[in-house]
Amino acid sequence: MRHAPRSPALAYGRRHLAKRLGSRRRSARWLAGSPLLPSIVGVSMLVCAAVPSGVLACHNIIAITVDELARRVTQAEKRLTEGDTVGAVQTLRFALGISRGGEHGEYALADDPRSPGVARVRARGERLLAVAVVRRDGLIDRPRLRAGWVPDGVRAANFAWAERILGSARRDTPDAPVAIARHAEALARIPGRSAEALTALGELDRRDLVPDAWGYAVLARLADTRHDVAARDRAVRQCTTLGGAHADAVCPSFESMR
Amino acid sequence: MTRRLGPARGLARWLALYVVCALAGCDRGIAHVPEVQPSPERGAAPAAEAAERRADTPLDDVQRAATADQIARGAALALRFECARCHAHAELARPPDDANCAACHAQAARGTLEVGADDATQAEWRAHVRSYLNVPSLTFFGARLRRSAIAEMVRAPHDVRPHLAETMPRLAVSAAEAADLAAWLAPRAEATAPALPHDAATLAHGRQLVEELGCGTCHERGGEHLPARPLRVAIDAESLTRGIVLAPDLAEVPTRVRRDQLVQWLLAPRTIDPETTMPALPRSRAEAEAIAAYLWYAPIVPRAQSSVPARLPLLARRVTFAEVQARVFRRSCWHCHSEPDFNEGDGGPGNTGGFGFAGRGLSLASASAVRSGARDDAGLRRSIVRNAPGETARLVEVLLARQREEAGDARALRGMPLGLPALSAEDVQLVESWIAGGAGE
Repeated sequence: MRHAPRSPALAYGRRHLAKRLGSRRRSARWLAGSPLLPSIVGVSMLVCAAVPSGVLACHNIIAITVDELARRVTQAEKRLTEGDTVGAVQTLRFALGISRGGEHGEYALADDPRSPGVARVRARGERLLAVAVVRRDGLIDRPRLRAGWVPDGVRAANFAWAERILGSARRDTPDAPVAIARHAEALARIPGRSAEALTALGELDRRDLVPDAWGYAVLARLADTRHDVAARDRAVRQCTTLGGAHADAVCPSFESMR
Repeated sequence: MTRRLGPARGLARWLALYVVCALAGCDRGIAHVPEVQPSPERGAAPAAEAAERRADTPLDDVQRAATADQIARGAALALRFECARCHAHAELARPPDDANCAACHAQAARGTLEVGADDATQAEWRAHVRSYLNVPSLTFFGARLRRSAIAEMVRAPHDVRPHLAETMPRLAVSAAEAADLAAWLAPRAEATAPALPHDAATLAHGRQLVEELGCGTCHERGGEHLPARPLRVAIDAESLTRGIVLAPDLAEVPTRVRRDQLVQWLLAPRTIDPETTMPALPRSRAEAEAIAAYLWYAPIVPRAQSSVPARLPLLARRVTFAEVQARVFRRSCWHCHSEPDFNEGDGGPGNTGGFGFAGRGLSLASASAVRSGARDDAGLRRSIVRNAPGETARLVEVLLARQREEAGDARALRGMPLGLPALSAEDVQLVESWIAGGAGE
């Protein structure tokens, strides 16, 4: 039995997906020996492995490949960009839960969770979770991967965790504007580090490299706290331009601008 | 991007050559046609002019055997420039499928790509995949082609195959490196070939044979009309299609083909290249020699010069990233400028590096990635969508550069998409309008 893909965007790139056959063989081996799944599922996977698909269903377990996982992470990123932070966290709950080698309802990972492909997708998912934590004002129950109220201590710990994850990503790719801007978003939420955020985003702005509306939203807030109205209003205008149809969900508005 | 000369200038040169030959009873044979040095400037030396220069150069200038050092350097360069991404060669290991453009596209075209895609998606890919389905194998390339022509093609590619949309990409290859690569591909010395008669009657007979034997089924010769007559020999449909797509412009013969191999190539192509789809058409050596004389000496009608499309004004409406992504980035650009996280760190040649290029760090997978820019030659990241007054965004500049390259005007800035057809004026207009609108979501 094969499941139809959920999105026409399944055309995720031949080149990216071309390793599927090899990874499926590895997956089948991993499943057969996994203590997490009954042996019948492993045997069924070997049978199902002959059929190419992003999502494989065998008995009552639906196996998710790394490619399907990547699609979910991309979906989460898109939701984050559009300002749907709660939706992004929901998608990440699924993707991260499975990528860590576990199960999610009837779903389980078909690929080896230790494989480099899965590790990269998982790392990207965790970075997105860190961004969601920052944009959700720290109000995310991280262990359960759910958006909602958390005590102040947990909130502060969430910000610190997000800064650590995004700071690490920035060190890995020191010239990548997306990594710089996201780290700056996290820094702006940590007491005493907003100046670092302003420097980083200001430098990107000077070079026309602020990657998205979110970067300008943070710049606007930082400028507002410094009572730099001209810089604030300019950042809001840029934010609105880059945000497009999602600007209302992303860009701040200030009393004096109304 | 075929090398061309103004029609009047080219015809005048040929007319002059003919008059001189007729008056002098000129009997220079192919054996006396020496090697042409690569033209320093593309577009300046049409095949006719090249043949003329060959005829005047001493015999001892023919191609000598490559040295072992040259061949070794060339083999190393073939690995560095990743020739095997597109071409097959007996000495090059086949790269994995995700770094093998030709193999991956061939599988997509057959619907056998082993990826996580359902039947409908596979069918969609099969319908859309067009490029890199027919790529010349390099294994026997040097057996019939001149080393100097190969070096020139590597250093400054131009369109040799009129029916093939893709061209050799403009790699960052120096003249010395191009020579070494050519030495690896064509290591053997050129032998002395017997002189061929090329009087007017012989050339007319050669032309008649070219028509009769159906050479025009696959080949063009500059701007000349070659009728597509049925081939004398049976050839299966797949080979015929491949033959048509890969058939080089016969106007290139005097600069491109080894003079000592031309007649044999026409008589029995598979004795030189067992992989070729070129059929053996001449019925005798005399016929092959007449055709060879025609291809070598007959005047060439310059091909009509293509022009750079007019730049269209910005669209009045707002253009979203989703539109640009669907119409441009996902179609042409994304294969080489993709997101590394989803392919074990490989973002394609245009992002994490490949084809001998250092990683530019450019992903075109999302609006924020595009706005993140690319590294310049000095490794400094710069915006590709900077929309300053009086400036053209880098992204638009490279798209326009590719349009110029196709019209024979290759400048320092490498055009994109690399080695693929230029974007239409309408697609460039869309990208430019998106940038003018702020390059947002």
